[in-house]
Amino acid sequence: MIHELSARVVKNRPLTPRVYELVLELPPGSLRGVKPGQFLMLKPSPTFDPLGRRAFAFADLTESRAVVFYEVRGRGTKLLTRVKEGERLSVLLPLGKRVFPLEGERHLLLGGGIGLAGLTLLAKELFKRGKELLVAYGARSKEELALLSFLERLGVPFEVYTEDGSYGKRGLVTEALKRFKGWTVHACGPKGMLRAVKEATKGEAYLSLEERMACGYGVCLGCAVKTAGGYGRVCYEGPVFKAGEVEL
Amino acid sequence: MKVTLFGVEFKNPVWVASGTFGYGLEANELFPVERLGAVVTKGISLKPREGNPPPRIAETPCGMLNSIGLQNPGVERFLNEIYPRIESIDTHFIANVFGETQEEYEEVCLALEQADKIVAYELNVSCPNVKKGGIAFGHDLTSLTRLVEGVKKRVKKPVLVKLSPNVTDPVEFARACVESGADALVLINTLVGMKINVKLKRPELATVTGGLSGPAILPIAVRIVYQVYEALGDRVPIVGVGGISGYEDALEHVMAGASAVQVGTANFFDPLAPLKVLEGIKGYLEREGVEFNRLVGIAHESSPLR
Ligand SMILES: Cc1cc2nc3c(=O)[nH]c(=O)nc-3n(C[C@H](O)[C@H](O)[C@H](O)COP(=O)(O)OP(=O)(O)OC[C@H]3O[C@@H](n4cnc5c(N)ncnc54)[C@H](O)[C@@H]3O)c2cc1C
Ligand SMILES: Cc1cc2nc3c(=O)[nH]c(=O)nc-3n(C[C@H](O)[C@H](O)[C@H](O)COP(=O)(O)O)c2cc1C
Ligand code: FES
Repeated sequence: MIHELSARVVKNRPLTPRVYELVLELPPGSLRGVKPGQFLMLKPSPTFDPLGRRAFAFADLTESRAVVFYEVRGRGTKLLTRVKEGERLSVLLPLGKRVFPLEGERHLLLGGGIGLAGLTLLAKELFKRGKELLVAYGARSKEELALLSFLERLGVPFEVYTEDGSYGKRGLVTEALKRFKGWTVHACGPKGMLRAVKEATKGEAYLSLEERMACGYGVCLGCAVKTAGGYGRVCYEGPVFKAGEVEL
Repeated sequence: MKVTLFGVEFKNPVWVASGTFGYGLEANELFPVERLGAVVTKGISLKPREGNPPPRIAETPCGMLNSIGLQNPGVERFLNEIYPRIESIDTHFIANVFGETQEEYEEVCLALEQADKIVAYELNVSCPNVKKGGIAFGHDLTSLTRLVEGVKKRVKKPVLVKLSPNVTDPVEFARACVESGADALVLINTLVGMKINVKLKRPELATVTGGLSGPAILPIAVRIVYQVYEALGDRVPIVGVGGISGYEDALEHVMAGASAVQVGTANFFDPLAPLKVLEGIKGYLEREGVEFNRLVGIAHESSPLR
């Protein structure tokens, strides 16, 4: 079942000027069964302008709380920054039918920028199951590593890449692919990065895709991604796809 | 709140609009779809249609643009793969039908004649997002007349025609449909619009233009329902669609002349909107002590506010 719920904002604070942490309190039980790779849609404002909901990954979960990290990009996310703690937001969840696979013993998780937020729940789950894993987190520079302290607190093995070398290893997260051959690869991040991951893994990686979404539950056909069998819905046939199955 | 239109009894007059509800299967995870008066399916064509490349949607002030391009598996796969799954949903389905040629419209309807769950056809002659067919009929009186007459001659089920708002005088087109035997009119489809990304200096949609829908178009839809009811309200029922997200929007359509309404874009940002509209109308009828049917076209009876 998918639920439309009223969530109480427990926390909505900037980690960097562009990235916020949002913690939502939900009715008990409503987050049970949420799987890594699934997402929620929330309405940044109860008015008609902006009209639509915005999609965000579950970055972390407790019994009754969902943690979201969002980057301020346009009107919706800008408005979201003004929501105060204690206020309520309408959320639709859980969304996405195809999620990250947990099979396999060794997993490499590649997060580009805010895309890391789409992988942290997976990292936690794999770790809990005793799998071998490494999270590679990449950003342009040290200032943009908004999720670094969250990642540290998560307690999973990770390494950091910056393009300018101001923190961790110099280079792109895709560098990590060279050292972990044969591992199950999961990736979330900008399209350019996903293309590189697709190429480097010969289509074997699992990618969490982003596409504009109007409904998030499969009825509008707005979130189209080209697959061998025609256009698929990112919100319904995805958001996780095997890289080889999609045109990016 | 039962209504009987074109010989079919519906449990209530609140339906969902084509292309905003899939085939009724996905939303069953959110609420019991059988509570709706009817589900109008995504457009069905004779052959499968891939649809347009992304980006297919863009947000606009109080509305959105779409250029889905009638992506659908075609009538044969609809019947084999989807139809068996909707058969158990206890409400009526109306098939939204699309063709590139008149023959295609007729073939799709004929293929659905034995499918009992489908109680009527809604001919989409008003999709702004495909190159061939559709508005070629909806914007040309001669081909529209021929199409409606042709389909009516070959099928037994009621034929509804969904008209375009992108014409100077919608009443002319509505009249052509009624005179060709249409059983009801569905007003309106989306309005042609576009949006430009100022930062990138390019159109936001891959197809450049798209169809505008949502709260922004409510007054246009209400105006067209009102005009058509004034001219033809005594001849066929009108189904109102366009900009409905709450019960008051729906009642505007009804008072302008609609005997039933369809909720469209609101399903996206407020998935429980159809139920809220239904409950809202019920509450209004109770408070006002009035029957639903009495409200249809009632705004024509008295002079405007002064
Ligand atoms: C499955 C999924 C999970 C996501 N998870 C996260 C996350 O955890 N953290 C995060 O910061 N962002 C995430 N995003 C991206 C986020 O949804 C967009 O950044 C956000 O919708 C932008 O809204 P806006 O109003 O600020 O931007 P605007 O550019 O003003 O938005 C205009 C329209 O385009 C849509 N849009 C714009 N960019 C995107 C995009 N990249 N993806 C989808 N729709 C877009 C908006 O929803 C809106 O309808 C995710 C997207 C998807 C599809
Ligand atoms: C994403 C989307 C897809 C649509 N697909 C169809 C379609 O296949 N056939 C059709 O006749 N109308 C289609 N429509 C038009 C709607 O059924 C409706 O007429 C229009 O959106 C106006 O109503 P609204 O403002 O409530 O959305 C579509 C609309 C949207 C937003
Ligand atoms: S967002 Fe509507 S189908 Fe995916």
